[in-house]
Amino acid sequence: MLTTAAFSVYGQSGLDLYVSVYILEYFILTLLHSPFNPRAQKIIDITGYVLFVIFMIIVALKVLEILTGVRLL
Amino acid sequence: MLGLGLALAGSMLSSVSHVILHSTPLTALGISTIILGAASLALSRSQTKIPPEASEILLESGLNNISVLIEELGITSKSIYLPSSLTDGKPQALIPLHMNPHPPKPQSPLPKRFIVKYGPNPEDMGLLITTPGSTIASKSISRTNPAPADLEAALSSVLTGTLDLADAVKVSTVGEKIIVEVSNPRLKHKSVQIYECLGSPLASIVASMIAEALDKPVIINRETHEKHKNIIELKTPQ
Repeated sequence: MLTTAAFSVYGQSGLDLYVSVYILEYFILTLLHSPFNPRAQKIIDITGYVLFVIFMIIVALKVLEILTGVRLL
Repeated sequence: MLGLGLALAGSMLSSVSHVILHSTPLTALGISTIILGAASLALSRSQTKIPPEASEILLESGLNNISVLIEELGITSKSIYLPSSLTDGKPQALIPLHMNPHPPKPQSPLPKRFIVKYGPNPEDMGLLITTPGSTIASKSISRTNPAPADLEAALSSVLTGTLDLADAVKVSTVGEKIIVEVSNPRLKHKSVQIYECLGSPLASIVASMIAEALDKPVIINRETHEKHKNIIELKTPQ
């Protein structure tokens, strides 16, 4: 919520930036609160894998954008 | 339920904001709500199936039965926590029937019996019992490096993760002694005779796990209870 408010105040319009920061926050917070109960850890891990894939897609698109010069996001 | 609700609301908000409103902050807010929903779903799954009160009753009744037995036999010696390699399958505690200045150190695996002979002398008899730490130690601990950091990681994973019995665990070594500091333990300490012999349930779990991790017998040398901290001092018999 704070991240969204801060970025919108500063006029950031790239969704990739918001999502990347949310993903980073997710990983930092889950790491700080670990270890979790094994049943909770399972869902945390699955969510982590999904978010990591999304993060990698964002990074790959950004790299492509730099290499080709075509705006993808 | 809350997790699913958040995830659903988040996906609706993000799609409406992206397709109709064309608002990046609102779309991002929707996405963050989906992530929060997933985290909330995970946390709701961490609730135990058995109520904590029921677990406490089961633990206390088990310990009371052992306590009655030990008091009846007049045993005052401290128990030795043995790794699974010295018992038949899982880490257990050996309570010597006779006081001995040198704690026993069995060299070969003990038989799977309640009353066992652990040495060559006639008085080398003891009770081999299963403690609260026996089951969890055999399930979740593997042989590890005796370095304090590795022991700390193994204990933290069980005490703060699987069992949720404390907020943090710190392990240090002073010579032959292993000192374990458990912050904000959930199990309350009571002054009963069984605890003099076996240690408190928390110390018992820690001792079983360290014995299993080090693959060596371990004794609870001392246990100190402070306001928000339990300090458990363990040593290996010489």
